[in-house]
Amino acid sequence: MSPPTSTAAPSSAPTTPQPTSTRLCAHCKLSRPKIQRAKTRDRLCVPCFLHIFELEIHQTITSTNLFQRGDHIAIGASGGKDSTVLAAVLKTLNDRYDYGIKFTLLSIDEGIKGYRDDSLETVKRNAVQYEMPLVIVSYRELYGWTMDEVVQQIGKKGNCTVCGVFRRQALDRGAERLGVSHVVTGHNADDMAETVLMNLLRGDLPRLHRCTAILTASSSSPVRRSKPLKYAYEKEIVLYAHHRKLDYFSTECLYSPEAFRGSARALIKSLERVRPSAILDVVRSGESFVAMVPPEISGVAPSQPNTTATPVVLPPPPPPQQADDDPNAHCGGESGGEMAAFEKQLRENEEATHRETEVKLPQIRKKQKMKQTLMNCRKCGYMSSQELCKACVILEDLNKHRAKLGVQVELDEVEEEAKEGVRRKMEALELRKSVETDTGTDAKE
Amino acid sequence: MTAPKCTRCPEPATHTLRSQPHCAACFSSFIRTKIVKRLESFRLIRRTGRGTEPIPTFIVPLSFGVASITLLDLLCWQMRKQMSYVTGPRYNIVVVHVDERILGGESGEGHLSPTQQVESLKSERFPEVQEWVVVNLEDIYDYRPRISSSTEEAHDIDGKEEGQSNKEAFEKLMQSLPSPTSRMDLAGVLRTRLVAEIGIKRRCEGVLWADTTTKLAQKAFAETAKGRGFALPWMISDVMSPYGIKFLYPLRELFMKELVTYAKELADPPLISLCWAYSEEPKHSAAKATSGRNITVDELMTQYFEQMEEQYPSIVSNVVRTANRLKVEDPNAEHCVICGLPGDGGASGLTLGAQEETEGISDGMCYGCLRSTHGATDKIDWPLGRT
Ligand SMILES: [Zn+2]
Ligand SMILES: [Zn+2]
Ligand SMILES: [Zn+2]
Ligand SMILES: [Zn+2]
Repeated sequence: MSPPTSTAAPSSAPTTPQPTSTRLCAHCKLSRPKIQRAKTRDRLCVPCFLHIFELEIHQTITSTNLFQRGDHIAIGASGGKDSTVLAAVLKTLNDRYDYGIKFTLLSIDEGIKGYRDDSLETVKRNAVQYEMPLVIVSYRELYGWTMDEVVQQIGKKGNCTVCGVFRRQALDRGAERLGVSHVVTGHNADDMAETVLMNLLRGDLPRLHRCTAILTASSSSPVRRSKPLKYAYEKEIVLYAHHRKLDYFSTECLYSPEAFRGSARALIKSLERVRPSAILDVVRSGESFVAMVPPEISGVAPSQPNTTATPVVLPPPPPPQQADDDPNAHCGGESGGEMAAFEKQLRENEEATHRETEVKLPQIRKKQKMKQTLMNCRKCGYMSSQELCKACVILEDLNKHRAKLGVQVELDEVEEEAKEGVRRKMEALELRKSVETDTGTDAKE
Repeated sequence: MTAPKCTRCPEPATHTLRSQPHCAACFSSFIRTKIVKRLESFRLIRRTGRGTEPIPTFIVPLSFGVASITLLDLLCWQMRKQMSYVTGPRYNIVVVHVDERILGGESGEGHLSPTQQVESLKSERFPEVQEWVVVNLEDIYDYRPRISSSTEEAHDIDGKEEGQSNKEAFEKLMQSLPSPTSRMDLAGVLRTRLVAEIGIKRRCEGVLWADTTTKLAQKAFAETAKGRGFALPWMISDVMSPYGIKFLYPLRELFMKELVTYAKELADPPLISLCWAYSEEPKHSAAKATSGRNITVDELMTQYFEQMEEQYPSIVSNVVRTANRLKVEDPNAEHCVICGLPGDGGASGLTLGAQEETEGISDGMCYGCLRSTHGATDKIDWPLGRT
């Protein structure tokens, strides 16, 4: 998926209807339609499209009482299309409907040369355009590491996990610094649908329970998060940005997403082609699942923001084959490892159960009864279910190996060993992530 | 080099099953055991039948695919075995074939009508079956709602115009629907309800659906993608359906591939020649799925899980286990006028697609039915009433 830059017309969405002179905009019935909505295939004129797009977000906000007059809310801003459109629409709606909200842009600087410095420039311009203050928190100041340094240390495998863990905390800390308790993020309907299918694919009931909630509060984070774009199609977000000539940074993650997400994403794209409403339909099913997950699973952990693969972009490597147009994406590719590993784990569970008793149904997650008490991280004070929070676990390892490398930097073996150590930790964290309920890395800003 | 030994006995292995070498006999016994165990788990069949006690009757839908033929074969095998005991068989089965040629699908052998095909099965292969039923999908119009007493109302609910044949009414209904996915979706709803109605009429305890693990996973995803997530428990779990008959899935722990091996290589004589609805070639190419043309949501998911089963079978069964743990949200909710299931409150304009069309759109329908009828060219004349 490569969204157009702000000058090129989107190639993926059919924007220009056939020259049928008699057809008029389905909404105003006056102008000639210029746009076909991805959601409904309605043909609309540009002003009507912009208006309806904004109106639907307004309805999403008001029907869920998302904001209260006088609130101070942070917009997680990456400079990408989703968060830029979110900021632009919220600015418009705040003025038009007099929400009485103070918005501040909150950006995370992961420390990725050539990507983040450029996108941060975009966010800085957005701050001026939308007259919103901007606060940037960086991994370097929070953790002493930039993502570039992390990647240098551990290689590309596992860095999405590091980044996800760091980002979640960084957003919380940024919000804390601002004194806000509510961050809105740019998750759209496509992201939401993808997450529903991914959680079904992974058998992750706790996440299935909470992933479609518009607002998620949790006891492991002082900050509530919400997703006002949850019913907005990615294609329409691109169209909206294009027609309002919004200034956004149009680079997508160069890394292929984690395999389950990649498979779910490819499936969502195919579904959208078969039946455009399918994205909304999956989201609607996901909303039904909220009440269908048995309480012993959903009731254990407080609700949480959903996880999304980290859309971090590292500049140098060429993108591995993106599988967007390939519904068979789950069959291979670089990131197929997670699926194979999960398959193996499930099979071992099945075999173990099989040995114990021939009749009983295999029940995989029975053992990991999730009873977790929250405490504060011994090192940094961040909320955690363990003695050390995940960020500190990662940091401890990174720092240990940095020290080691400082002395013996020329020894390849040591370096490899160090990489392996961190990598194994990462994998362990990944596993922990898939069985825990109170953790989660919220990727998108 | 000698062939590897069977995991379960000293015989040489001829097949691989769940990544273990197996001999033919142990493979077959694995399949049989899985089904027998599932049937027992339903607790509907008494272990010691005493001639006088009534035994349950099940309805078994037969599509002439590998799964339903194999299920039928194994049920008959079990009844045959039971007949040799003094206590006799512990259950009866009624087989129903829904003739769906009205949807434009294949009719099998070409020269043989479904009724003739069933005739040949009756005596030659499966004499244990108590009754065979062949019914046209469009004959759902003969199953009038049981709720209305006043004749006027009954006529209105019937959904058919005066003098219209079942075929005409059904074709008109299908033509008015907005997309191939909607047609396939609602035809599926009618097929399910028709089987349930026939089963109820014959006082059956339950429907034994021939859905494999693979099929159940596909259904979980397809129904989710059609906005019918709320209905998963009735489509995946062994439960009492809102139609008044139990829905049971005895093949839930078997993969499609395993049944194909059984039907082709292990059953004696092989079953595969009976399975005219089965084709080796996938019906829908990957290219077709990518373009999204001429394919429905159900077909896309079928393809997705056929491939998934090849590589990640445990992930497929895990999807089914996960979906199976979802519980009905509110069994007492108002039933949808189309699918007859306790609804999910329909839709708002936000989820239906455009915020403008919010008013009065639910019309007693659940979200999935609303979606499939939304944009219909004609008023929907539905053959059935509320359950
Ligand atoms: Zn217009
Ligand atoms: Zn910490
Ligand atoms: Zn053997
Ligand atoms: Zn319905």
